[in-house]
Amino acid sequence: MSLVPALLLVSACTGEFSSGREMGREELDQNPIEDDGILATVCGTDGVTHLPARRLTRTELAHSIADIFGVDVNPSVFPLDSEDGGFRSNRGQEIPAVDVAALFDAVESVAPPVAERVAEELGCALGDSGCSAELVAKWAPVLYRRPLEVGEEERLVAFAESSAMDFGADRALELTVQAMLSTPQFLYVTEVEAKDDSLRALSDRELLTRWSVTLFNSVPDAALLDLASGFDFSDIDERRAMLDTMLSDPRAERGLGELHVDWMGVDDPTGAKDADLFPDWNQATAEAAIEDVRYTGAKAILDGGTFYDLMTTRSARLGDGLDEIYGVSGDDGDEVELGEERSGILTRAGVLALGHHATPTEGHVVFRGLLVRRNFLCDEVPAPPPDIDPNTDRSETDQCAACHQFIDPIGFAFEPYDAIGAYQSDQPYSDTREVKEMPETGAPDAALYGEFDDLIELGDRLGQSEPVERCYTEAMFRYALRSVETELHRCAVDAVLEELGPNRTLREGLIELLASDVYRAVGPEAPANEEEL
Amino acid sequence: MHLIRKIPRRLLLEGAGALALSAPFLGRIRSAHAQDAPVRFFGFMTAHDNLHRDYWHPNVGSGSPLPSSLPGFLSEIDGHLSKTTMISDMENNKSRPGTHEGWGIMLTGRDSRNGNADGPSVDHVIAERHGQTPLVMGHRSRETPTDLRNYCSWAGSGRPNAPIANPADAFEQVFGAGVPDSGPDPAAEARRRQRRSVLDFVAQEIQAVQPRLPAADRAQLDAHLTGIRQLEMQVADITMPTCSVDEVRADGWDPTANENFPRMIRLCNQIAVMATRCDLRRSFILQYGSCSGHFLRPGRWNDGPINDGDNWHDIAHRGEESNRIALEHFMMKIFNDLLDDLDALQEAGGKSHLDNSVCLWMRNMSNTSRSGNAHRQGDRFALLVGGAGGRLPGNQFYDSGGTEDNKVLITLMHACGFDDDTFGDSNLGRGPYPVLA
Repeated sequence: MSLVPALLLVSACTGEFSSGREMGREELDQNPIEDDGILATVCGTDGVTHLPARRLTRTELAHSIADIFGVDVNPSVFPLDSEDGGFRSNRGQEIPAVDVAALFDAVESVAPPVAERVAEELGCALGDSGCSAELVAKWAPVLYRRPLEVGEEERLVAFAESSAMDFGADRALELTVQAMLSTPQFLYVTEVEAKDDSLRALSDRELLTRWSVTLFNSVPDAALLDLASGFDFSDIDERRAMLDTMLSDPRAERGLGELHVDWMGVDDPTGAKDADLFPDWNQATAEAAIEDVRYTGAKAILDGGTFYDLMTTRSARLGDGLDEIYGVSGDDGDEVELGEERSGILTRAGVLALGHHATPTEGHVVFRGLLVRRNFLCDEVPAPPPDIDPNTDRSETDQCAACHQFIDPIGFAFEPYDAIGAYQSDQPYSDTREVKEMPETGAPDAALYGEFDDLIELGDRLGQSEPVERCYTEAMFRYALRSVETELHRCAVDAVLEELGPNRTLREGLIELLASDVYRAVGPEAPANEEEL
Repeated sequence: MHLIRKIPRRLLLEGAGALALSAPFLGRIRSAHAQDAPVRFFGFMTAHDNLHRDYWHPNVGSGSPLPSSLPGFLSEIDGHLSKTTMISDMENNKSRPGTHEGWGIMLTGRDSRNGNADGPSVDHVIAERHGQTPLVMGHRSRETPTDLRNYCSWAGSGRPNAPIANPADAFEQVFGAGVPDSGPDPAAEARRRQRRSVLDFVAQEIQAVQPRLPAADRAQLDAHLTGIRQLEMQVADITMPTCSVDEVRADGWDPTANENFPRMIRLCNQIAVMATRCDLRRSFILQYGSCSGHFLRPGRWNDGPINDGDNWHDIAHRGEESNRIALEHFMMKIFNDLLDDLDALQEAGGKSHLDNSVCLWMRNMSNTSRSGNAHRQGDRFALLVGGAGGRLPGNQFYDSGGTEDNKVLITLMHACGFDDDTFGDSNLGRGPYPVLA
């Protein structure tokens, strides 16, 4: 068994970046795509497709309600999410009935405080003349993320008025809010303008929704819709300007934080640690560690850092118990510089302690090694054979060693960091430790090969590697799409990285990707039984 | 927002008297039970294992009757020895018992994927065979809602059946809003109508949106609509009678609060008994713990058994021996209360509901030492209590000899009338243990 190298394919990228190839005129009749240089001229248009609808994730729902109504909601009230490409997305997933019930109950519980907030702004009572129409006109287009279509406004108004008649004004407001928040128009992100077979651009609202859930982890609120109306999204410079403006919004830390939490696979704070060994670890500490991962990743982008900065930064944000783990002093919420034993996102407590990267008692060599192979080298590492005995010594059987020889030597670099991510200075590496190295097979960059001293050096090498940065950028694009990237998307990543050159910042790369015509292009729906054709 | 009712234990145990209040329904129950009564399944799931085998092993040979009194905390169920089958010393090296993760997948007969079960659990399969879904009630950790290890009932891979933490919600889900003896509760009826109106609106919107969506998107909304339709059916079912009702939940108490845990689980027990008496459900999971017990503090329960500030997990590993034993006695007594209630309900032919039920008590780990400070995947045992319609003779001890514990689940399926040769992963055991009639 051997590792399958990453799909860092650029074969789809034919032609010159700067040379033009006009799209067929008939493709541009409606919502035309301006030729910004990548889609038609570099990568071709064959891979443009329609992305299936997706249900908003639990954090997107909570953040959306917070942004639109100013009401804080615990995301855990909503049903669990499914992943696509390593990121929580619910893309193309048919929701089980039990989750429909959980979602309905959750919205029902959220509706009263939201209705209270709506009532403050509404200034009238349902049942009063015109009040239902005012309610619908003010909130429904925001929740539906588009102007209401024929019949939608009438149905909502009728529901509000009949509820007021049957249940009284206050309860009717709660029910109408609940109804709006339970509609597919709010809960599902659909991109319906590509229903026909045309190759075209997303509508402005659809594009804004993609950007908003990517950068803010929420759907657009009224203020963002107002802001967007001042930009012409058919012009790439205006798209860049809009994105730059959005990245200056404090909420951008939220969306970009989620990108890095998912990329590292550390969104779940509930894993327990051995209480004897780590008596101070609790869920609040785990949540603070996740928040620090959010901070680390988002700050690297928002402050204009490079990929190398992300892999070597010592800046951290403290939270419950992190000062002890990091061995620094400061209050919760403080931004601090960590010591020399920390460098980059791989050395963050949240990454080291959560997401199967540690057991309750110690760090997990295999999962830490896998993190690097899968998420930094974009390797597709096969799962262990289903019939293998989990108690088998993985270094002693050929069946296990075939893969673990490429995983474990990387994982050994993490060993001084214990199950909660604390650095054990009294147990540094010793000569008797297993060799820490990047095995040549499977690594995409010759500069990465060979032995290294510690996790700091590993992070340094990864930070300087072009293929690793490309792997990260592909993950970023996957997150922005909430879908597994295609060759077209990988082509766009290559093109953007090449165009920006070696001194590019993460922020520049993100803006170029999200402003690109590849990102906003949408084509015909893939055949339902494509694999049979 | 919820029904404010409680079920008085006295009324619950009055047997057919309360049933007579709902005459139209009574005929249906009788006809269902008059011939071959269905076997009901109750899974009783508690938290972290506390005790070494010295505390529970009856020290009799395999195939022997049980002693006249079971050792230690098991003596709480001495009144049901004639209907008790004890299977000991299951061993399993392949699907991770002996870990916290093993708790959530214990009833699936499969290995897990990072806490995510890889198939349905036995309660779900049994319920499906009856054309139902299981009623899963009990502890749902507010602190760890996303930790899949804390779910023990599964509809399938990645689809946990989350326990209903509020007895009022469970009551409403099973019995609806109808109160045959006193007429519909006005508040509940208003709530039902309100829910119905929202559900109708959402269904209408889904149907309005669907035509302009691509096929894949329509399929997603179809699934959503199916779920909405199921909810509509639940709230529409206002004619469903109940056996007896009062207040499930008085104002001002939080059934998810740690201190209310004993009250919550007793109410869940009673709802399960009522649901089976009315033949509304035939498979139940009473989830009275979680994979580790980290977020339950027995020492702070109202009317709890011990005075120890630690959480259940830490008591299990480091607590005083007397506290560990007292906690086991307490939970086994709750289990015995369930058995008592089922045995007090009479069915046709002079049989009790317990005669036509199987109540499973099993854990995924034991302890290697009397101090309790370890996990062990072997040295485990299971209790199958109930006559299973005559399929389980009872009063027998069987030493499994270290065979795979999937055979417990297969035995359970057979006891419930389903002669499956495997359950879950067929590599983890085939065929039932030889304890069946």
